[in-house]
Amino acid sequence: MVSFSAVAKRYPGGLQALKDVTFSLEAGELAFLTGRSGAGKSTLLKLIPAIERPSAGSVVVNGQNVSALKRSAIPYLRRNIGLVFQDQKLLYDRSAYDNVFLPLAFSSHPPKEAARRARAALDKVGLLAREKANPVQLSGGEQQRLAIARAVVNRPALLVADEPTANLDAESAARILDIFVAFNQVGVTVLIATHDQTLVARYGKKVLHLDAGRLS
Amino acid sequence: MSAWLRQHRQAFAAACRRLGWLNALVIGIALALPAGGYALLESLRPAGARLALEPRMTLFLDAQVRRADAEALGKRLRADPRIAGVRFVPREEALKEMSAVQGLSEVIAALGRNPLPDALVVTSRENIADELARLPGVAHVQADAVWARRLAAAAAIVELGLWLLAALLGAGLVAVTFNTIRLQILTQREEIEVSKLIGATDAFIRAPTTTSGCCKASSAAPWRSRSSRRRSPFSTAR
Repeated sequence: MVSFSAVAKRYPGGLQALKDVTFSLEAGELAFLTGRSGAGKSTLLKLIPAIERPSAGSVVVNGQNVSALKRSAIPYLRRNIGLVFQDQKLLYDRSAYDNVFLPLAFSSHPPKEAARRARAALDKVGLLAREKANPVQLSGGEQQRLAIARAVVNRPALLVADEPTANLDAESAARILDIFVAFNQVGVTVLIATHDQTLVARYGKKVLHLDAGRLS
Repeated sequence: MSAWLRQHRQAFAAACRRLGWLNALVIGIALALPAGGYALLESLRPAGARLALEPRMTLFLDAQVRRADAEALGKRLRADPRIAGVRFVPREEALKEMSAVQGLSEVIAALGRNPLPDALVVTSRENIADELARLPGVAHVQADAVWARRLAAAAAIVELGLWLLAALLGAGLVAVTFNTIRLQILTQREEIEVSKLIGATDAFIRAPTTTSGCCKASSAAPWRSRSSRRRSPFSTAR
């Protein structure tokens, strides 16, 4: 599903974020990406939906070589990847429902089907009752769940989450991870970046540990 | 195809919601001012054209000049390449024309004799009034085209002014529109950023902006047509 081979990423200015990163993730697998802040977790995740391009090596997602992808093809790659961002990137000028609806606005679903999907996604994260609420009215955990609902509304085969449990209490964090595990159980490939080692240990899944840009 | 249409319909609806009243007004006025001025100028132009723009002069001859000399002078003038046409108006004909004017016939009858001189009406391609005045037997030259030429010159200046105004307002309009679009994009910056991150194509993001541009242009049209209706009193005066 995801395969990195000898990937390096150097930012303009000389910061070497990733060095010789090689790993692969099978379809239907759930893996944690761990490491301290600044270890390169976010950079690694950004390479998957082509938010960043690798300086060297190749990134293959779903059989597509992302590193060589044309600019015009990137939107279609991203539609098949559910992204949960570290800062959630919710839109605060509209309701929870409209936030989840956003990815459906540019997909080709008929309006009724799109509305059904948006409600189904909200239901899966337990926010259906709050569909009319503005994101600012939601708690931190609820906002994170809303971000997950938006990520999965297009039913992607791959779900990538960057620190989805940061700034959450243990109970909310566990609930978020349970949601990811539930998606994984229905066949979605999941990659979660986190610095919370204790949480990772509880699930006993594959762990990719980054240390100063290298996998160890 | 239906999805494409639906997206454009949504973009149109969004554009209509965002379309500012004031925006439409600004564009409308910027287009209406030069257009209205031009319409006014165009409706005045036929009136100016009716007054011959070619300098036409009337040469009044001395009363003592004999008919044969007058006709010889006319022939001489006709031979001049700068002169387009010469019409000889004998004093009797001039008197007849004058008496046809309501109220003047009694005055002329009271005079008892013909006070009018013979005249030559000369249409010239150049302004040669001074030269003609120096001809023997010519008592007085009346160049009745001078003010018509001034009118034509004034109209040309006004037209130039209108073009400058149109250019200025056009440039202003482009600047205002650019700024509006820039502000609109700034207010939607987050939405655009998030949309791009989750798979929106550039065309999808651009659609509301292009649609709103079309909406603005067409919403300005009523203002423009209102201004062109305003010129009607002038056009009926023709």
